[in-house]
Amino acid sequence: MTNEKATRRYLGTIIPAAIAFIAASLALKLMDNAGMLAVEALYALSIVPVGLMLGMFWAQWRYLNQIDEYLRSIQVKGGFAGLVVVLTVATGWGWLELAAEAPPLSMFWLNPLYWIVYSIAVMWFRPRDEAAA
Amino acid sequence: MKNAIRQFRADRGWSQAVLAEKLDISRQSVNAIETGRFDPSLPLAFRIARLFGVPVEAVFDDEE
Repeated sequence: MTNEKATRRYLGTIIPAAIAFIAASLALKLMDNAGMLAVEALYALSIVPVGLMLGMFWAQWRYLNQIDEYLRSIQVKGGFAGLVVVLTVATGWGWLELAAEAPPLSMFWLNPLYWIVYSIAVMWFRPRDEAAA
Repeated sequence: MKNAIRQFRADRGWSQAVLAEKLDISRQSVNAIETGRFDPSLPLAFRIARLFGVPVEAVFDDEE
């Protein structure tokens, strides 16, 4: 498979999955705010956004296995940057919650944070054409 | 790692896009390898050398 085809397939999967994740999360939140769902139903329906989130990671994994080694190195760097930021925020704020009674931060935001940092990092590390010396 | 890809490519009149197509990699990868920003794996280095019909040492120089 060519890199272009792999990229088209990746974007064709991850963009709809991200939109569906946001829509499902918003819909659940709105239904919860309106008191439309019992707690048990909320637990059960949380499978929808979680499944979509796992679909995004599956698309990323498939993409990593289909592109060439240089493009893969950029994706891995982006993913690592996302992981570092997420773990730093989770651990740092978690410690503040434990020790300094900081206001709780919803873990929900860690997933969007990962994708935002990953996207910015990939753009930062993206291929830049340079003339050979 | 220094390399002579640009020279070998120019000798054959190939653009980066043509070389990328022959190697089944992206043009960005060819540019990154050619400019020394990315060192290819051993299998890719051998594919590059084989494509040019020369030993891998003729293409890549690991001396600083």
